[in-house]
Amino acid sequence: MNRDRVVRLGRAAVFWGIFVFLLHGGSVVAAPKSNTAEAGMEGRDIPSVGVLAEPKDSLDVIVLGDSEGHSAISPVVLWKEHGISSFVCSQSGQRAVEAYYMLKKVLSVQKPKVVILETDLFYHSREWQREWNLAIERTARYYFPIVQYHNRWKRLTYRDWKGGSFEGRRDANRGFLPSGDIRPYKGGPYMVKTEEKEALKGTVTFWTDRLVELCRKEGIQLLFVGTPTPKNWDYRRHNGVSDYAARRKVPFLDMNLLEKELNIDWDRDSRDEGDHLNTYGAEKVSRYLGDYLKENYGLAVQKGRKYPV
Amino acid sequence: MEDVWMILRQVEPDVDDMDCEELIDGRILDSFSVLELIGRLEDYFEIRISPGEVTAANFNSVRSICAMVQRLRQGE
Amino acid sequence: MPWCSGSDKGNRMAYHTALYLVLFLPAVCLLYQLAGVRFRPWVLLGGSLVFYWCVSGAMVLYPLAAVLLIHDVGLWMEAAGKEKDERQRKKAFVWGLAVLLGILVWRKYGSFLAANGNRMWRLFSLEPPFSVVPALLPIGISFYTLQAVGYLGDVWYKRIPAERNVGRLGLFLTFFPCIMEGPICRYGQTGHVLWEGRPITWDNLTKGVRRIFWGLAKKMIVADRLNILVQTVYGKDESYSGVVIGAAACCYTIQLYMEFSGCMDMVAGSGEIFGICLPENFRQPFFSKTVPEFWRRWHITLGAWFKDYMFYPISMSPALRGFGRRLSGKGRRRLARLGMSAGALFPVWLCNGLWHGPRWSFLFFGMYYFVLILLSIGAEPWVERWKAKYPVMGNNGVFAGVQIVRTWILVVIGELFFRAEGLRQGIRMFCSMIRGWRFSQLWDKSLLELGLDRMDFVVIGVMVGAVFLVSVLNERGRDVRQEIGRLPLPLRWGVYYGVLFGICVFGAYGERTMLLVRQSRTRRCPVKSHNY
Repeated sequence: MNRDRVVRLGRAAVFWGIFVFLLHGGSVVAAPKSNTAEAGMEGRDIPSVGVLAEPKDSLDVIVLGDSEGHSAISPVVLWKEHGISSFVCSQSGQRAVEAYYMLKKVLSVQKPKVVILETDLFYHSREWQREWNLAIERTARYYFPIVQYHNRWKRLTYRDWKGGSFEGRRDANRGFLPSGDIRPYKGGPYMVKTEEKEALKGTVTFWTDRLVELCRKEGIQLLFVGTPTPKNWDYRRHNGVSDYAARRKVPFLDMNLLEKELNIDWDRDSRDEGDHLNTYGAEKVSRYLGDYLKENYGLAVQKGRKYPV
Repeated sequence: MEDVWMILRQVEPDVDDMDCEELIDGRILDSFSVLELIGRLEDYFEIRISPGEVTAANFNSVRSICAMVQRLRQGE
Repeated sequence: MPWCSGSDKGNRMAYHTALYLVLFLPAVCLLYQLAGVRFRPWVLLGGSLVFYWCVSGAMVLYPLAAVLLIHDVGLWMEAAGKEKDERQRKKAFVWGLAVLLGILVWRKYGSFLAANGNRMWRLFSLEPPFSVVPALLPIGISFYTLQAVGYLGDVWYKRIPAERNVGRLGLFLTFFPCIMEGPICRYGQTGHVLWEGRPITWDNLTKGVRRIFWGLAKKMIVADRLNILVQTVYGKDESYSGVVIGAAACCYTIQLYMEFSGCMDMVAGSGEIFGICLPENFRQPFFSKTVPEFWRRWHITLGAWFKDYMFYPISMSPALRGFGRRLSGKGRRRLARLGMSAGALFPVWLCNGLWHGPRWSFLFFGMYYFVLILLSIGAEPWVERWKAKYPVMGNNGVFAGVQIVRTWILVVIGELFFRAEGLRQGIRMFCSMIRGWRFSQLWDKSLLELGLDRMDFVVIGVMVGAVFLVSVLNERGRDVRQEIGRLPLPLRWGVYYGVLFGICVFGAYGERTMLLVRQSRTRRCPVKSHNY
């Protein structure tokens, strides 16, 4: 009886083992070999995946978060003014689980000193069942990219079948998506001081906790940054994240409270009425952020390091 | 038993196996045949068959129909 | 069973979601197996209530109330029966039915009745008095209510004794594989097995898991894919005509079958893991030669429920029998049979149509089949005569083939109306299909502009072919899983890997599919996307 059981379990283990192996093989074939739409990369991922095309271990700072990240932080400004090499690995609507796996992917080719987490993603959470389904799917995607790219079966090329490594196109903006549009925000002051807190959901903190742990383990300094966005932020959210940051001992730089220091002019600096900043706003934010990083994290210019395209 | 078999053949002439145990499950009798059969059984044996008796267990074979008929006759 | 596959519904607990397959089901299996025989049924019950709560939240109180109701009414009937108090017994039964059906009608059909009541009032130029507030439906209310009514009916007819154990009744009504889409079970069949607490055996586990993956493959490879095309055409039906609409109706029929039977496979597989054999809902329906036969092979448990709890009681009622006898007496046997059939079938099909949802198009759907079935019954004598005259023609394979195709056409027309967002759209599409019919549309690539390309159709074709093969084997009484189990190991595993990879690679899931579905939707998918 016992031998039967062992044989059965053994067979099952082999079956699923081979399946995992085949899935992995399928993922190697299906994953896009470049960060372009023609190679099969999804539009939402293209800016962030460019990080894999950067020279190994050349980046000091990685930015994670949603579209606030890639509209407000410009690595070009950070480099030109402060010599800080960085990359914005944000995705539009990025969730905490996606930020976590994005960081894991980046850490396979980079050793950043600082990871910036744009805090808008703390409040990106819908109904809990939807979030759990998403979390399971994103975890599956991380280990088996075929889950994300299976639809490419119709368009696989010889290049895909050959395998080979990822050959990304280098992005001059390093993940930053500039926009010169000016659509002013006319809502007036939005950070009205209050003691209330908007609570964080468990489906978010589960993943941010793991992100914090990952940074700690890798010896990376984590920094929460809130870029100015009247449409998505208020004092209650500030309190919610501030509380969390204090508990996890992560510094929190909320630029929504630094309108004066940043010199934000809501008539000129927003591309869509207060949802995202445009290049003028981004310049101000990046400049300030660069100063902050230099002062607090001692990121120095590395002479002779290759950075620009 | 013979009577039931005769009535059954009147309703569904295609049945040729008296020992068939799958009149309902094998879909040899459809709902309308069952109704007709019930009507004739009631007239012939002077019994009342209630909808509760219309189950596969009761109608799957000639034997089970007989059993049901006898039970109902005794009950009255 | 109307569906909107791939819609936002996929983000809540449902049998095809990651949440169910990766978290919920394994967790329940683990807890179930670890618990002893005594506690296993409670694990199932607890799991079922958690499942229900995930989908419908606080409305879990509805099925719980129904459980308490049938428990009390059943015992009341039994007590009255012991004291030979027929009046009390009847009173209990009627009361139980009234409450169960009343709640169903109120929640499901309340706004429909109110809206139509208002319409009638307006016809008389009066102020409509009813407020139309669409109510949120407790999930599975149509299913567990029928099961509850069935239980009361069985106790009334003394087929089963009343159940004393509330937990047993609770599990019977809320068992999580059955609660969302059926099958509609009978207490005499599954009530006791559910409570036995059989351990999960290796065989049952593997059998169940295989069936679950097969159902998942049907749904994800075919149904979710075809949904794109169906959504495109139904979303903007004015832009299409003729063959395209016919193709959309055909595709919807296939989508519906794949999705519903796939769901039933997942449900049956889930039950099998626990050693519970749930009744089948499908028996190769597209091999039917006539429409009545189709309804004995499609959504079997629903048809059986209507047969046992509506058709027979009504046909055997004194009123209808008297009518039948009078006509038979006059020698008009055939007319008697037709009349009695119509008398009993009309309420059955009225209810069958409306059971699918509170819309006129569903009522039409029911009446459509009522007429077809009545015609089928009425034409029987002529068909028999014709078969007797031309025996060779009658027993021919070709003739059978013609009958099957004719049944397909009738069913597809029915589904065209079923999927439409209202009777008006259905009629409009039907007329447009007839008027604009041009066979050239089949090869002039207009079918490739509906969201699916050639490769998609190839994939669909292959999967449908596989399902067809399995159906043929099932029709011949062969157990497909056993047959595959007897194949040599590499071949066997090849089949399994084929299905698994079919799902992973060819499954219509993910961002691109969602985008296509959203693009093709110009109107919100109708609420009938899920039958409650």
